[in-house]
Amino acid sequence: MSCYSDNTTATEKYHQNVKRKQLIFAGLVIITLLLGIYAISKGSYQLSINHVIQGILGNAEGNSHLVVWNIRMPRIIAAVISGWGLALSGLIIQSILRNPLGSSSTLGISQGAAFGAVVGIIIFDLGGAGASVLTESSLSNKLINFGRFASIPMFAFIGAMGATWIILILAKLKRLSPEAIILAGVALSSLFNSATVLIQYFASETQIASALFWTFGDVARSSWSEIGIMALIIALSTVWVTFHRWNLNALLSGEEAAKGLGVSVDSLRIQGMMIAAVVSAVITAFHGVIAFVGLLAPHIAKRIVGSDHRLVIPFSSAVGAALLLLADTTGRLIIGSGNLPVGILTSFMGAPMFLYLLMKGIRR
Amino acid sequence: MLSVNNIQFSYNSHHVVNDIGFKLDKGLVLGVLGVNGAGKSTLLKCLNKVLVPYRGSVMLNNEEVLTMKGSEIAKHIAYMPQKYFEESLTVFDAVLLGRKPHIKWAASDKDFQIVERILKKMNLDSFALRAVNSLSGGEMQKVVIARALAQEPQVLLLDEPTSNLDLKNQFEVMSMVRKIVKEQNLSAIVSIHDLNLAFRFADFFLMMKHHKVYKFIHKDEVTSEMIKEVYGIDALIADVGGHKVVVPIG
Repeated sequence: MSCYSDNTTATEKYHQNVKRKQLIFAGLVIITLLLGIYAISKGSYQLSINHVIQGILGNAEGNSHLVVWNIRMPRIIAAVISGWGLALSGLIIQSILRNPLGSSSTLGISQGAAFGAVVGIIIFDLGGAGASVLTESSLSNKLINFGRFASIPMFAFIGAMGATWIILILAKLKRLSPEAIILAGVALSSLFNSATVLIQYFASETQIASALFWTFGDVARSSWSEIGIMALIIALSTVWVTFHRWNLNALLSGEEAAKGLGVSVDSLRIQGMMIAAVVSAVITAFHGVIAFVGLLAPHIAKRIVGSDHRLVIPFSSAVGAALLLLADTTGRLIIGSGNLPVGILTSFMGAPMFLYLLMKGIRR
Repeated sequence: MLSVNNIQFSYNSHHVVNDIGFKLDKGLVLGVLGVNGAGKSTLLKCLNKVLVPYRGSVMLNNEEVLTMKGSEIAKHIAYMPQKYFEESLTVFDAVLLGRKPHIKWAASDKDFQIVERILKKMNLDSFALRAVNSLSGGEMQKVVIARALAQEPQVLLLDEPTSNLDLKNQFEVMSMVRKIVKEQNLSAIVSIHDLNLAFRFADFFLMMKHHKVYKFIHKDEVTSEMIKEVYGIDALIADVGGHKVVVPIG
């Protein structure tokens, strides 16, 4: 006997359910947009909503235009894009490794980026402190000369991709299980953290301050061109993950079941790891380490829509964007001088939220 | 007609499946029997390239399966692994996933119609929007079989479909498999430990010993000696209510 008292078929019920979730998604996007407009209007230079809208449309003049387009919009767009990308990266890692703890932080990718940045700041003196820890020698001079052409984001990107390659090579050579890959990531994180501390030990106070400031994730650093690079990479990654949404659904019931449905699991894992790493690396390179968003956003999304990747991909992205924008706006408007790096706040907000989700039961 | 010839598969130069061959007509259920580690599960995985055998061929209606792409194989052969993980997908989504090999970008009306029909047929329509991991073991097994049917395959590969099920659910699941095979004229290859279920629901037995075929035989021709040879125990084959049952003896 069917539980449906009316004559609605299972398919009709299913479509109604999907429509309801699409409406929730639309609501989430609208809330994020409204939050963005509110965030543009608030700050040391207050703008009315009308001025904000005129500013966005390019009709505002003078200070309003400057505040909207040069100060607040880059920060807000950067928060939205970074949140979207970090959530996507976390979702991909969690899905392909079938592990709810998967994220760029647990795989050591963020720590690799931080290590790379600290190498750039302290060894290559990119932080502007005026003194490298390298002693005078021809090799040191060559390294410092190389550093002049490089930038901190470039070092961070190299560090993140280095961590990714170590994980991928270990996974490929030793045929590590998804659980072992996470454990290898934890070990790698610890190694990068230790190496970062070791380099800081030999640095001057100014360099340490510069390195420390970089590692606090902050979305206020990036220029429009950097935001454009991030947006392009994240958009392409979204296309990839959307293309593979059925394959990721198949992987939910295990590797063998997925292979039985025609999924090339090894290829999916390698591609997914690379894409998640590039997304995470580029965000960390431009904005520093922003913890917990990649871990948390997919879990919140799964609580709302379940595990179907056709829905959880857009939901995770939207939740990540809203979460990071909310954290940044809170840090900017409520706490301290208005320049609190968002990375500090995401860690504060993220840890208790994750513990809460853990107690409520995690969905794979 | 499914024709399997000289299948060989090794883990680290150790033959797990050695020179296996048999032919199976449509509308028949083949029970794969043998002790733990005999190579039953590995054989099933070799038939649809979940594991790639290094030698042999699998011909389905005179077409070589092992040279097809995975997604193409999944249109013809559905595989239900021994271990599958509880999913938080809804029952509807889990069964719709069986259409994956046929879906190019998005599910079509035809895909939804097929899922609707299978859900009704298997009395799963009342659970359609429930999460798979909230179901009982028997219901979950039905969902996995429903997904396999949604692939519209010609061959079903079922690896221990009754493990972890109680007696009632074991009987229901195997009855369902047999009924579907006969109604839809499919072939099913079922790896199974329970000899009584095998006698009840299979037509032929592939008895494996030391990773090779010991006997490929109609179930009516199985003797106590064969069971002793494969399982190493003395057993009596008795007739109870028109059904053969195997009773291990002291």
